[in-house]
Formats: sequence, C-alpha cells, structure tokens
Amino acid sequence: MRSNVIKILEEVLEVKISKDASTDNISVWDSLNQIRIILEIEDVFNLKVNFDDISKLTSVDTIVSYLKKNI
Amino acid sequence: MRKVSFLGNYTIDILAKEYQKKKKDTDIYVSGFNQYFHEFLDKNSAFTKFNSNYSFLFLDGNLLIENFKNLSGIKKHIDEICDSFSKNNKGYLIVSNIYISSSINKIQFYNKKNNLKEIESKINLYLQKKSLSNNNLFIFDLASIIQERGWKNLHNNTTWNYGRIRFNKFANNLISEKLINTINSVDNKSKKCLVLDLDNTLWGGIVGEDGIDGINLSTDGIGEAFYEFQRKIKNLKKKGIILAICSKNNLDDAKDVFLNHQFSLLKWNDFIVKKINWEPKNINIKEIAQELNIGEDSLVFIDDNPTEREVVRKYTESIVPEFPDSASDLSEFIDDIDLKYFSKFNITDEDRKKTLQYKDNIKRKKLENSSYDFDKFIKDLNLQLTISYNNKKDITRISQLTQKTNQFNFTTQRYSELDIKKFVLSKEYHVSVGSVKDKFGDYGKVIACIIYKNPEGFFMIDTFLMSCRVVGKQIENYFFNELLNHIPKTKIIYGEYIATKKNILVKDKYLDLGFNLCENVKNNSNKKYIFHKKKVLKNNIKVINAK
Repeated sequence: MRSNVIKILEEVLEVKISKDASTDNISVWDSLNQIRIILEIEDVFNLKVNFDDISKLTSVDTIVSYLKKNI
Repeated sequence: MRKVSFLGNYTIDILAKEYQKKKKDTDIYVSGFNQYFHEFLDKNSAFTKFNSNYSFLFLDGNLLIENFKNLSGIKKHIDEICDSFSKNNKGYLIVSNIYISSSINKIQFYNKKNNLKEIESKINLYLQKKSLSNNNLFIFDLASIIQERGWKNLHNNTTWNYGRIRFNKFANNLISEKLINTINSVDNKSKKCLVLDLDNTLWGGIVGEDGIDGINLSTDGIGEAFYEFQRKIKNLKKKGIILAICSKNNLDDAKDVFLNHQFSLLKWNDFIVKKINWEPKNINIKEIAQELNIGEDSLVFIDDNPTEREVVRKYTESIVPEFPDSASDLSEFIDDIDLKYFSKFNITDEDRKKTLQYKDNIKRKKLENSSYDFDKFIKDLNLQLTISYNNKKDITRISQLTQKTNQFNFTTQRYSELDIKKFVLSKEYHVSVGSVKDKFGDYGKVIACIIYKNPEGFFMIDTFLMSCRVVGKQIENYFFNELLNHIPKTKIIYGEYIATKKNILVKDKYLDLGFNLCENVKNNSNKKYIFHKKKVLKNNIKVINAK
C-alpha cells in the first residue's frame, strides 16, 4: 500500500517521493495538489475521503494509516 | 504553440491540469477563482496579456443563481461577459452551458413557474442565441455530459465544500477529453476517411456463410442496431468524410449486400476505395491511403475483429478505436467516433462534394497512367484555375486548408478563421485562393497563398499551400505566376521553407517557381528564397481572376 501511495504522490506532484515525504518537505505539495491527491486516492482505492480528513492527510504516513483504517 | 486559458466561477485548476497532461503541446493559463470578469475587462490583466487562442469559461449554474438572483440578472451578466471578452481579446471564447443540480426537483416542483430547471433551460437557450450572433463564441455542452453520465457520478461534494472544486477524477478526465475534441472541431482538424470492415461490423453475421438473407440488417431487433449504425455512417459521408471498405471477403458476396439488400442504407457507390480481398489488412490500409493520396494518420479504421485491429494499429499510422462488445452500443460508438475524429463546426461546399471529388481523382489517375506525354495529359484535362483575392467568403475554407494541409505546405502555419479574417481585412496582407476544375469535375478551393506586405517595401510569402488532391498538375506554377501580376515588378519577394516531417514534397519547389536560395540559410533544413525570374509556362491551364 505504501508503494501505491508513493506512486500516486509521484504522479500527481511530479517529483521523487521518499517514505517520509510530507507537505513540510515537498514544496509543490500545496492545497490544490492536496485535492488532486485526494481525488486520485478516492479513485484508486475506491473510497470517499471525509471533509474533515482532507487537511489531515499531509504525509505518506498519515495517508497510509488512513487507508489501513478505511479500506 | 496553441494557447488555451481556463476561467470560471469555481475552481477549474485541476481540470486544466488534466487537459495539460493530455495536450502537452499546449500553453495553459489558469485564471484565479472567480476572476474571469475582471480578467476580461482589464486590458493589462495576466489573462489578456497571455493572448489565448481559446478561452474556456466554466460557469456553475447554482453559483450564478446564488449571485445574480434571477434570470434577467444572469442574462445581463452573460451580455457583459461577451462584451468585455471581445473588447480585449482576439481568440475564441468557449463557454460551458449550465447544469443546475437540485434535490428539490420533485414532480410538484415542475408545476411551479420559474423553477430551477426552467431557468436552466432559459439560460442555455440564451447562451446558444449569443453564440449564433457571435462568431468567436462557442458553447461547450457540459450539461449534456452531466445528463448522460449522471451528476452523482461526476460531482464530488467534499472537494466542492473544501475548495469549490466541482468534479471528481473521472469527470475531469472525461471533460478534458471533450474539451480537446471541441478545440479540434473549432479548428476543423478532423480525420478524412472512415475505413470499414463488413461482416459483424456493417451488418450482423457473415455474408459469405449466412447469405444475403441471413445477415442481421433490418428495422427491428438486433438488425436495427446495424441499420442505425449505417444511417449514422451515411451522415458522416454527407458532411464530407470519405468512406472506404477493408474486408476479408468474397467481392461478389459483399457487393450483393450493398446492391440488393433492402435495408442496406450504405450503397456500393458510397465507398471510394474498396479493398475486399484476403490480403493482410495493414497492406490494404496503406494502399487505401496511397490511392486517396492522404496520410495514413487521416484514416480511422473500424473492425469488430481484435486481431485485425491490432495488426492495423501496429503496422500503420491509422487510428483504430476499440469496437463495442454488443451491437446495441454501435449507435453510441459511432457518435463518439464522430465527435472525436470527424467533428467540424463549419462544413464547406468542398466537404459536401468530397466523395465525388475523390472518385474523379481516381479516374484522373487512370488517364495519367495511360498517358505518356505529360503536357498532353495536363492539356487533355481541360484544367481551369479561378483565383479570388481578399474575399470574406473564402475565410472558412482558407482556415480549413491551413489546418489540414501538411504535404504541399511551405511553412505549415495553422490559422483560425479569426486569423484569416484579420488578414483578409488588412491592407498589409494579400490573401488569395484558387479553385480548380477539369473535365472530370470540380476540386473546389484547393490552393491558397497569404503574402505579407512589409512596411519596409518587400513582400514575404507567409503561407503557400495546396491540397494534395491537385498535386502533380502544375497548378501551383500557374497560380503563382498569376499572383505575380498583382505585385509591382520592382518589389522584392521572399519565400520560406520550414521543414516538417511531412512537407518534403516542397523542399525545392521555390526553385521551380523562379526563386533563388538565399545564401545565409543555405545549410539549414529551413530555407529562405528570394524571387528571381518569372517562369515561362505553356498555355495548358486556363487562369481566371474572379470578380
């Protein structure tokens, strides 16, 4: 799952993504790309991300643990 | 590079990004959220300075109602949008029509006057009216896409609340694809020829085995699906798409269906080239392209057999779409093919006459093959070239020629109708177009030239092109010699050759027209020429200047 998440992030952000990537260390990971990432995750993992969770999914780790809980 | 802008009263950045991913050769500008009106009005805005060829404006129906309260307020706003856009911008404005989502559209709701759906249809009707009276305004039919696919399948509530982002990934993908098709059809960049397989494609079953009475082709049951498919293909022919057959079949069996089956709407003569044999289809497809004298990439090939599709896809440059699993989906399938590859906003007389013209061409080729003396062949054709100058009636056709001509095209400049209109109305440009006919028929307007009159006194040939249908008849020599009569003898004329993958045909053509190569660019693949001496031509082609 982690590798899938990294692949999605790399596709959307068009930069190399490491395991500890987050909005703090990836400058192109802005609010618009955040939405693109959410849309991509919804599409790939066939789930609906709640409004309140969008702003929490700001790193590879938080996305992976969110997915583990919700799929 | 083509410039495309995205503007809207909601966030369209993700849609623009999706578009850019599909069209990497496009320069994109995305306006800020709800900034479109200010951007249109301000001649110094980033949008105005970007100078788009095409601007997509996305208007959300619910937000419009929220902001402008009633129908008359929205209509007034649409007027203001159109006025402000045309004040500072030269390109095309493509506005999405309106879809109003509402959970209260229950049955009783429709009994009330001015309900939301009534307002929606009135706004869309008003937008359509505006586009009819405004040459640079087009409508992007977003409402139909939403109706067809379903609001809930396209809309994302969470991202809407989060950042006024309307659509999900599937929708962005679908809509961006349709936007590309829209620009292609405004540009008249359609493919030229539809090549069709026969068994299980134009009818159900195999005629060689089931016989003419055993195939599925009728006005009821599954046969109706093929009947409807044929009807839509016939309509493509009416708008100028050339039809051809590529089928592994017995010639007589296949011919029998077109000549004698009561429900075959397509007739034998509707097809210009028929390759009905047992040869590999990739070879037949290449021959079709050669016989029609068009590029392989101008062909769209339809076949129910996945192996045949794969072979043609692998060994030719033709477009080979997937074929639907069920015959019931054929009607929708051909609609998609039409939109994707054959849509045209303006259909010219040349388009309508295309089948006839290509048939004439095949007769001409036969005459050419039987004629040893080239001069005699040209003379026997009774060619007549009629040239018109700076005529507004030619704008659509000249734009179409610049968009579609690849081989006999010195500079491959692509121009929209608005560009050509600008040239035709300007004193700085000399725009000419020639129509050609011979004893077999009328080719229509097939050769054009745009010459820029530089204020410093010299003339520069910006565009010189000719449809490949008339290549090899010396039309260009007679056309150019006649143009020289309209340019003062003392003026210097420059011509330019900008090399592309497809225009090698005209690499040295300027020398043949009486130009000399300019030394300074001699070693580049692009070449610049200066006119030297008018060529003396025999009196083989009659040249007429249109009044």
